[in-house]
Amino acid sequence: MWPRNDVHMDDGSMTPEDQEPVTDNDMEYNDNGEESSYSNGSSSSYNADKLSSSRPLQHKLDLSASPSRNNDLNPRVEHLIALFKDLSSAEQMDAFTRLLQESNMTNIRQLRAIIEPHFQRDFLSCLPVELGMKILHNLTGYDLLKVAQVSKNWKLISEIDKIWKSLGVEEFKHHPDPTDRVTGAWQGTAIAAGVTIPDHIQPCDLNVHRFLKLQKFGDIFERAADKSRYLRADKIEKNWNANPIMGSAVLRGHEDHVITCMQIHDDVLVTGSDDNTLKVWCIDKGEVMYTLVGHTGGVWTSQISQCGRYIVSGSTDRTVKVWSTVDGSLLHTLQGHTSTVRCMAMAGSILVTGSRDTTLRVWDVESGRHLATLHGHHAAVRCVQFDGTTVVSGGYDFTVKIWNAHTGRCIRTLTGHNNRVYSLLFESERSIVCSGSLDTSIRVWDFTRPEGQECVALLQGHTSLTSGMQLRGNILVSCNADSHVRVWDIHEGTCVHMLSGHRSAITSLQWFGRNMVATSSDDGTVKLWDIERGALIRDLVTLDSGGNGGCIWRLCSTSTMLACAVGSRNNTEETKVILLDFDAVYP
Amino acid sequence: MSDADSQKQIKLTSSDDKTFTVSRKVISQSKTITDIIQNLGIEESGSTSEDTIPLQKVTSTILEKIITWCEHHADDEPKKVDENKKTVDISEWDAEFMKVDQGTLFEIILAANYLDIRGLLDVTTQNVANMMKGKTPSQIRTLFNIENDFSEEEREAMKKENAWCED
Repeated sequence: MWPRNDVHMDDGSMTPEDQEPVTDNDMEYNDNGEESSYSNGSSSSYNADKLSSSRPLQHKLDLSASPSRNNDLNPRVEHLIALFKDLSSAEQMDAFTRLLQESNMTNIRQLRAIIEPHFQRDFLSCLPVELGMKILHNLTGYDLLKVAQVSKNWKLISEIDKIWKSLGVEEFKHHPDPTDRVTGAWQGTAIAAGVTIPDHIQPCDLNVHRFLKLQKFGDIFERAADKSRYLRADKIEKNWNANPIMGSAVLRGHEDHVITCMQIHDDVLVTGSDDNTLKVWCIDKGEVMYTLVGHTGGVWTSQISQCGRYIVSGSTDRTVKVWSTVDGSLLHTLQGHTSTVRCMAMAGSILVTGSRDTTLRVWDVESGRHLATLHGHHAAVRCVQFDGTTVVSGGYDFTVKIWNAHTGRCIRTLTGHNNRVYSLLFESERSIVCSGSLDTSIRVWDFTRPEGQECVALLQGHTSLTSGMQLRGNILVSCNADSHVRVWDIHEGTCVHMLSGHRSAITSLQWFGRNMVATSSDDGTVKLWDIERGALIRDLVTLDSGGNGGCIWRLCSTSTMLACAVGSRNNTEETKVILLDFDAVYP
Repeated sequence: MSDADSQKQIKLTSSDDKTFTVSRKVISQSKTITDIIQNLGIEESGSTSEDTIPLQKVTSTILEKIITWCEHHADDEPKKVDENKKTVDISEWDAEFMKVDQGTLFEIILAANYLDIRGLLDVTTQNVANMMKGKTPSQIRTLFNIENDFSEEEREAMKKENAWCED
């Protein structure tokens, strides 16, 4: 018995018992020591199915032969075969060689068609399943789709879940269940006078697409779930990269005002505005659920808690308010800041807020209690990051400060920037902080290093304020008011790519999937980039009013949806949120 | 395996009763044979001339190929398994070694699996996968002499599924 690993077969129809007969046949070796090396190992191990399938082929060829070669009617051929059988193996080989020399090309071609199958092998059907799987593990998803079309056996083997599970990066294969996105604002599209969405599906095709969306879990999902998951993830990526955009919507609200902040948590979108309100939208239904009224000044910062139960907002009215996502009710008003609340960060139910009053405050949003006040900055606090223990803040005093949230003590002050700090990233596992400044530079810090030596990289090349950054591993992507996106290697301290295309300041950036980055800009466009190749993939949204005041203020996304906050400084463009759908069903 | 062991010879008998003599070092790439040697206590006996290992599932033709491969790879460094890497790099020598008919390749795969020779199993299965890469189903059928046994309804269903996948 061959050594067999225990293969878990999710497809009930592919059981070890089903494979056993084939395995047995293939384990029979030709024991006849007198066989010549020519035929030995070539014709042996031929299973019964293969023999039966090759016989019809030979039969067909025999029918095309001339009548004189019909064995049953020609005693001379019978005599020749009887003589041939009496020959030794070596003599038979000699006879074959000489017979071939006496044959015409037509007959030789027919011989080749008869002989060739003896040298071929249906590997996947004849090998034990675990060896067939080992072969298929070497293939891409695309090739596996072809393999599934070869024969019934190949389809069964190619759809074993373990093969598809190992394909692709696990992190990018998990998406929430397929969405609806056909009701409310999704009933129309975002295409309108003044708004261009290149590659948007034609209206006449949209209804067909919406109908097809209704079946969220298809035939492949039922019989080969991991293949279906892979295919859906692949389709979603293509939906972003190349396919027509299959749905869009416009959420109207905050008229005549600016959308200052925007967040997504699962299916909830929250927009904050200088109209003093926040709106809570259900993305899938394409409708507003609540308008959060209570602030007496513009909202400049907001967060949704990780658990999704709380919305927190900061305002020019100096207060922080905690709202419930369940019913939109106001739970707490947190008072203490003496000027505009400008930034915030949350970990669990602990909130850190930064203010123009130069302080940061730490709160418990569940109880509404004030826990600590962090004094030390000499000017407005502009950005903050928080991991639950350590607070990192950047300010208009040009410094980045590291704090202990529990004690309120400043652990470290990072100096080096010579203008205001506008953006921050904090990766606590590596004690890495990235700060972007109006001095045009981005600094990378490791605050566990000796004081004065914390700056591990100085990234130069941008020519204005860095408005957003994202970091994965050693790759940092930054967007800037100079209209460029840059991709950096923070380990080498070098710029890997500079992405040009926007015509004015970039306002926001979102990195999703493996290498896709979306950016929004004052020029009224949203662009999608491939940061591995350093190239534009395509424009996603273009405002006609771009260049005349129309701009995209903010951008955020899920893995299957993009939200763009649209507006203008001079009323040339109405305030709204444009949603683009990139989702797909399970086939 | 010590230098002394590498000089020792082992006799292998194929299913068609041909005997091959190989060094212990060369054949140590087969985990199955290594285990048999340990289980039989051949090392302790010290009497190598009388001990042969019968391999009833491997013909002499295939066993000869196996030994040739093992002799060439006897001094290979243990391959560090790159979990992220999807495919195995096939050396020129191995590519030439695998220029055999599919039936022979099939039996080499079975023998490599039975004898548990990891490197040989990796390159041979990779070789079969490489034959499939980039080919249409029809080309694959021709290459491996496979009948298209889908019913008409099954073909229609597959056409619909594939249209979804290829968008």
